Amino acid sequence: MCGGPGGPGGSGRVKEAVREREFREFAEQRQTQLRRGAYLLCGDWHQAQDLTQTTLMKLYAAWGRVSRDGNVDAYARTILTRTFIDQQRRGGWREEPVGEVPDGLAPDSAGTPELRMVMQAALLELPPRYRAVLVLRFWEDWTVEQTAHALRVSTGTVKSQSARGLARLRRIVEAMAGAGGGR
Amino acid sequence: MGGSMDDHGGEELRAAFSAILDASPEPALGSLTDAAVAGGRRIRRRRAAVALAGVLTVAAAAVGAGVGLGAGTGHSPTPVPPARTGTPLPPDPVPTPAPSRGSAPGAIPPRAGAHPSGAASPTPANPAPHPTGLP
Repeated sequence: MCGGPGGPGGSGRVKEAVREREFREFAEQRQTQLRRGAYLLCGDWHQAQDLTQTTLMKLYAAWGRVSRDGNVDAYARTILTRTFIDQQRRGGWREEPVGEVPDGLAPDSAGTPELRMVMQAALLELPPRYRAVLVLRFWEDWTVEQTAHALRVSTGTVKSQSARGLARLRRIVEAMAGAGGGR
Repeated sequence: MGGSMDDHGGEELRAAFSAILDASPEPALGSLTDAAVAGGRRIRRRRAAVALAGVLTVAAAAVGAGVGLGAGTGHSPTPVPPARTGTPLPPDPVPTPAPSRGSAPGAIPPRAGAHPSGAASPTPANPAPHPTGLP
């Protein structure tokens, strides 16, 4: 069955080699960005690394179809977000709380390391779905429709979860800031 | 995050995401490409094996069903005689009720010569006098 390079087996091997080369180029270029998005979702670099690896594995398994369809980047982010939500639902990961919130946090101290920690802690307080909506909408800059497609929900759900997520985030941050400033 | 939670809140959140990532330097984690390629191949092989198993199961079920049908009858079907051709046979006589005087008006008279004796005509629909004098 495996003939020379011109035979059917050789043609298959050439296709496979091309496929792998294209995938490797994409993975090398994009894995850092994917890992950063994963970190915003899960809050831990090692979990983000696992999540990114699972995403890239699934992407390579479907590479032929995905690369034909185009927009591989959006497909990869969709896989990543769905994998994150599935793993959270199954309880595969236990989220580690971020370290202690520092004292004396002022609400207007935007950009300070303390506020970043508070923000990260507040983000991890949100339910995974809300977190995914906020990351896709405001970090990846996806539209409501793109986010709805990725999360397999309606656009109305994305809008409501986005608004509720932001509101809850604000409440959590204010509560943390108040607790820190009141001491 | 103290402002209104609409688009402005989104802008603030985007800035906060950047700040979180800047504040948490990424540790030196190796490239994932080799592991992803190996894992992706494994997924594809598993999918192919599952698909092949499905096809084989269906084929085995089809073969088993065919063998089961053949063994269930135990004999070959009875041969059907070939259809006869040529002149058709006359139709079987239809039994009719005994003759009566009050037969229905407008009944068809017997054909001439159909029953020369006229004694036991199965369809004595004609009330005309019989040659033998019988009613």
